[in-house]
Amino acid sequence: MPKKTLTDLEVQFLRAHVVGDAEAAEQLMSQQLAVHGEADALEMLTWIAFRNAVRMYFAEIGQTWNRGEVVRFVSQVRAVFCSEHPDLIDVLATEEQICYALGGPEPTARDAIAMGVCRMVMLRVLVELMELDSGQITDLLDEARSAVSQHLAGAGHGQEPSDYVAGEGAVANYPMQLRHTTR
Amino acid sequence: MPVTDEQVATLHAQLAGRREEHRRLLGELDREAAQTGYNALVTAAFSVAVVKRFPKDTTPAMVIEFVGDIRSASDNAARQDARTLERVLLAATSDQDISDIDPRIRFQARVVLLAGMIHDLQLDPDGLDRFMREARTLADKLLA
Repeated sequence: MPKKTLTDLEVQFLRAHVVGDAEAAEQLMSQQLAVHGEADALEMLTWIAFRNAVRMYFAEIGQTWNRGEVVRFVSQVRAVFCSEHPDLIDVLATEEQICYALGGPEPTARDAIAMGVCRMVMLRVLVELMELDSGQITDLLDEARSAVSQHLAGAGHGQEPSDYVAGEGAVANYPMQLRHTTR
Repeated sequence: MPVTDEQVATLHAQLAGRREEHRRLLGELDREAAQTGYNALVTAAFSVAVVKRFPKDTTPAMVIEFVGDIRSASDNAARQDARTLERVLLAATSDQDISDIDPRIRFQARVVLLAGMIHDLQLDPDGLDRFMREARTLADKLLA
């Protein structure tokens, strides 16, 4: 089995996604699939960027988290960003993954697609809520890229949460959903 | 058969937050009569509360936030399915079809939403008595 590698195209795809450039994201994913046949490190990249963004956001607003705060946060996000498409993100999967990113229990929701979609949507929402500029987005993605590269090289093996892989194809198929995530 | 005093007392105890009394009265309700009478009373109370709590131009976003507030109250409340609660509430404020939701789940969702709306309405004892009279009148009409 060939070793997983993280490509520039995958990182560029995630960047296009978080800045809301759906067209570029679709093109980059098409290129990735045409050149590499798959995007198998993207799930991990997305998870780590999402996890770090969640931690940044909760640290920024100075909020000590608990399940209730996360429930309220997700409902506020859905009210603002997703009220036209209320089923876009799975509420429970989103809440559980945010809690998990903040050090809470492992998610019980195991739907791979639901987990992948919520990470993608929430990553973009968090970047918007924190008003990250281009440099800060670069930092966020560089940090995630570095963590993924270390992990794939074996240096960080066992240090990342065991369930960061949402499921094959959950994120790679995501561009189809991008156009629904705009306000 | 109209709504009984026992059914009214049961729902009143729940909405007033008297949990033990509610549990006891619920256990004493005639099962068969409760299938219709108590169900109708809860449905009527839910409808009355929706009118009082939500304006006509209620948006899906307002419903999402309201349900979020209810579910954020406790771990137990967080286990309630958000979309079911939202859909049941939206069905009362718009023409959304919820026939795919099991009637038992719909009933439970209305109970949860009703408690949340009553909490928000901050009714004093007299206000809750008036609310229950209104609900009973509507329920009796539904059953007639």
